[in-house]
Amino acid sequence: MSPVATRLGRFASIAIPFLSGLVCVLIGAVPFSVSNGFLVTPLFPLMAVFYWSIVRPDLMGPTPVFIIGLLQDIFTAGPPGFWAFIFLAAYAFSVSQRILFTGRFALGPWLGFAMTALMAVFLAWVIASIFHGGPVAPLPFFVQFVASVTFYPLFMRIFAFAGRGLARGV
Amino acid sequence: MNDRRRRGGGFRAPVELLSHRVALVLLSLVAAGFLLLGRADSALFEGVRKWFSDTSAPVLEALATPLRWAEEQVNAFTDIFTVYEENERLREENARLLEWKNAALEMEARIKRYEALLNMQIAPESSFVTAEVIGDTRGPFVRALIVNAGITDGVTKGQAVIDANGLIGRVVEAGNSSSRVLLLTDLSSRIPVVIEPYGVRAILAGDNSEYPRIEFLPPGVTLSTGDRIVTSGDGGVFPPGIAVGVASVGDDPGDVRVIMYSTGANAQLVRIIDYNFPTGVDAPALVSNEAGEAVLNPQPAN
Repeated sequence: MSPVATRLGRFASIAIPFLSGLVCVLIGAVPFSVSNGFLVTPLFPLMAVFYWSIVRPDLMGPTPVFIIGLLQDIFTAGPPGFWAFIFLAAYAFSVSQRILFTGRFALGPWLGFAMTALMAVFLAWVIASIFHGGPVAPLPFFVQFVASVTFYPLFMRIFAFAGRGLARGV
Repeated sequence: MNDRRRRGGGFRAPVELLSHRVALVLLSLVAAGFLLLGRADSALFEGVRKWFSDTSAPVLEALATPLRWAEEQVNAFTDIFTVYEENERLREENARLLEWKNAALEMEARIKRYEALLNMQIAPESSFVTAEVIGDTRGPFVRALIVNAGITDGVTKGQAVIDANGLIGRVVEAGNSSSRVLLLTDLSSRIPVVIEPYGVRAILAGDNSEYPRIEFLPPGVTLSTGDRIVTSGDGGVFPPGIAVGVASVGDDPGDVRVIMYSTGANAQLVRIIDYNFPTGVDAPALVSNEAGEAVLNPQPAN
């Protein structure tokens, strides 16, 4: 393989965590209405942020998390900085508990994500309530939490598959 | 040691860890700053949003196509189990609608006769743009759609958006080739409505639940479950009379919810209405009468 191709492959591998977050933002914005209306989109980008922050925190730093959060704000039409702030808080939490979440307990990453997602949706509810000037309905936040935790094992496998390419590249 | 840390994907040196922490704090402050700035001046970030909507529209369209196909397959499969009941229901509904159609035709003819008798000025017809839903941001905080029509198609901010069943929202951002539609269920949605048959005006307020609330009802007005809600046309943005839904009154008569004809949740194609609200009406001039009182000038100004 030529040095240029090797360098490109290496760059692509390093970019996988950020790109997976970007794809998750786009997936969350695609219309899908099988559930006959009552659907709250799971927090797909949070899955990418959490996964890579415990698996490769050196590649999923605060800057990619911030950009992913801002893109989520733009696509969801929420207040700018809303998801960026929440994702950074979730990132800080998951990195600080990384050893616990990646320990020997098989369900550790899933439970870790559940804790992180719970913290993230609670923070989202608090900020949304402050913005609204009173408590907003908590049910959609809870539904989003449950949906995110339900979908996480599937996305964890997809990220792990992408991570194998990462291991070859770096 | 460093190799082991690297394999585990951890930080290689205390300096790297420190720079991560500093960046984390700084970016959190920037995000919080954006939140406060956005709250103070919401138009500040609107241009960025429009640009992103326009740029990402082709990507969203490309992603939506296979998902829509999958959605259709799932729906087609689940429909198999309810096809008999659905057929029976549609037969009954069709018979009922035929009766309504006859009644509507009769009423239409009668109204036309009355309008001709009264020499009534008919409001201008609205034109519309049909657009496809390419993005759907249904989070716990914001309920909005992205559609593939923008300024170049004649879409402007504030226009009403309907689907086959009724009003679903309004355009809040219009880019060149895409627009964002805020659904009626969104927390920040407020629409002036009229409750039929009383002609009472009120505000339909979204609260992120499936059933928006009716607010600012005049004192003493009590609604009943099943009362029809339509747009009032107040403010000149929406045409009057677009179907919204029916009232649902709970145990507390003050808590009136609306069961909407369409939440926009399953909308694939929508119509964006360009309502030509009559403007440029000259304000009647005031003149003094013989008694020195101010009255409207009976002669139109030239």
